[in-house]
Amino acid sequence: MKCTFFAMQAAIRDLSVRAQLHSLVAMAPSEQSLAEKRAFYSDMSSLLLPHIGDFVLGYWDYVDDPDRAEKEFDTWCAEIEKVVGAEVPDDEPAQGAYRSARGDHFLVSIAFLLQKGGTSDLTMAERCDFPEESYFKRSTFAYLLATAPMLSYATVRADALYVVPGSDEDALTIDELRGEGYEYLHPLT
Amino acid sequence: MSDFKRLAFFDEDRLVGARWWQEHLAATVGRRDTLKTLAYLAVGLLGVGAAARLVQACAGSRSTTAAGGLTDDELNVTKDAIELQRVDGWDVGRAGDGLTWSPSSASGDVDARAPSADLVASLATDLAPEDPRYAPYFVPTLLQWPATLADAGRAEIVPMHSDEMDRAFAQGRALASLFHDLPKESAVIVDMPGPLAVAFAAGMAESFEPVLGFDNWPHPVGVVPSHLTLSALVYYAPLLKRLARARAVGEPPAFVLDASRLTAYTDAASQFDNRYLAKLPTAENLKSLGIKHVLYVTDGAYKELDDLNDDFVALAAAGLTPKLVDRGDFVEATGTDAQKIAIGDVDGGAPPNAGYTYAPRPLYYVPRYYYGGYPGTHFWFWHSYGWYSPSAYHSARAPSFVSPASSYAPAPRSTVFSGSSAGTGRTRPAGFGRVSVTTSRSTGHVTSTSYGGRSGSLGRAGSGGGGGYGGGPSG
Repeated sequence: MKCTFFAMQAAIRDLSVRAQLHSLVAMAPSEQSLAEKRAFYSDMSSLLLPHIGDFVLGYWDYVDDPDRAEKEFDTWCAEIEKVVGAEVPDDEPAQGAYRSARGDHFLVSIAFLLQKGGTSDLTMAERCDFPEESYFKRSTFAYLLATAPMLSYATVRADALYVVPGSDEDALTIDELRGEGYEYLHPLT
Repeated sequence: MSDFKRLAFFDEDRLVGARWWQEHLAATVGRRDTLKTLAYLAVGLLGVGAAARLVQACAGSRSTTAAGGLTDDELNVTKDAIELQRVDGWDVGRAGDGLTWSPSSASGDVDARAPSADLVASLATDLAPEDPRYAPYFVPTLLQWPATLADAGRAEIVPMHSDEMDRAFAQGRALASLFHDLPKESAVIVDMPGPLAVAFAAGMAESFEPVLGFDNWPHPVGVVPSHLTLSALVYYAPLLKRLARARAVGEPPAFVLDASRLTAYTDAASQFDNRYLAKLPTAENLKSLGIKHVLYVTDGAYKELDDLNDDFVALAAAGLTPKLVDRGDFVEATGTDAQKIAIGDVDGGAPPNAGYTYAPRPLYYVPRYYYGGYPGTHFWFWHSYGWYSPSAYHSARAPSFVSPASSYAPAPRSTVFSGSSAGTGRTRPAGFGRVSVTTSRSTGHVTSTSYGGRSGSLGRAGSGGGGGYGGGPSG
């Protein structure tokens, strides 16, 4: 089956919503019906949209080339998931790799593998059609977040949602997010 | 039923997250090519159950391919969209694709309860007119659709609720308040985009009986998003049922139409034409119901939709000249006028101590809307529309601004729906609400459709967003 790919990642300077996202992911059943899946992303969207003003950095991508889409999805997921297995440098605090006394940011990422030509793909393609100067506006990210509950999950092949760091005690600093490994993140205006 | 299975789950200091996969998606059928491919596979591998129809549909089609890509057994035909859907499935040609829902999907209905699958399945009976006189004009087509779905499909239908629907609801209440204590001889036609029409009618439903006229089914690539209308009905269903029980016998009708029914249909290769024509009572029918006046309510339009022109001209000729009001002429009150809000209290002219509640919310907040924006301008409506002069009429003052809607009068104009000669009534243009498909001569079932694949309507080509992903947070 041919697929397309959509993903979005944002650095958020407001830790208050992270615990709710944590609960949303942790409480989600391991098997979901189509209705439960849509409710899941409705909840996610409802949690994040009020905090759109605190989205400081971000990146999103839509790939309609089926030869690349599945690989992109796998790459996104693998790159994020591999932080779990990464070794903690000796000079990092014991609480975790992202521990920082001054940190007040976290990253949220969503990724979808969509059936090419399906209604979700059509919706996503239409809603990703921004002029280039709008790619990294907060309003664009809000618009894309609001798209998740609109999708017909019957035509969604795979999806993923990640929150980094996961611990309520950890956070990322803006310097970390502007540094090595996060060069792809753009300032949001 | 579980569709997505979680393949990875993390609840650690560094990462909280999950990744899901929907395995059976690959089995969905909907494309012209895959439909045929699956049918051939079915002959060899399945031969039973769900595959049987596909086998039958294409059993005789493997021998010869005729001109135009058809086999000996295939025939190109054009069918009414709703008839095609009733026989071959609501999502014919895009089976498994599902619908695109509104970002305004709500978790609960007007009572903040999750609607049950049973409730959704019984809408066609629950929302039928209480007054048997209106039964012939009730069009239940859309409401019948959920009953054809399995429980999992009905669970996909969620309530829809938006700020604009709340506004329409309050405007409907304000309009209905103008008719309190007046003779019950005025019919209202609410003609707005489906969810707003439903909300407006719900706002009127204390003193007008909603008669729904939604005559199609949704489709994954349908031009009319009627599933959103259904979502709005699911949201208001408890209130509509409650008001139906409380409503006095003999209240006048509010015919409720979806103005999206005539949405432009531009691309047979990517769209399913589920448009339809409104069905309204004739002048004779209305007169038999005791109706002497007709008010047409729009969402910013100052003339009737094309499919109603002949009907409205005929009503005028019969002495039932429709008048038109724009819902935008009912404006939310400001300042001190906006503070006197309480259900059961005076609300835009509503009778005090109305005998209902919006349980379980003891005070369902409905902002006050008035014609022209003020209590003092509200009953100026009757200066503009002229049918009645209730007591408040005499103290009303002219609003500083309302739309030109009150100057509307139906006039014959040429539309694609115009009758070929006077008195013949409207006609349905060739192809309107119809879909071209390829069917099996031997079974009559659809074997392929024109809209089963993409038409190149993608908004962007190639990679979008930031021009390529540079890796995850650690990459």
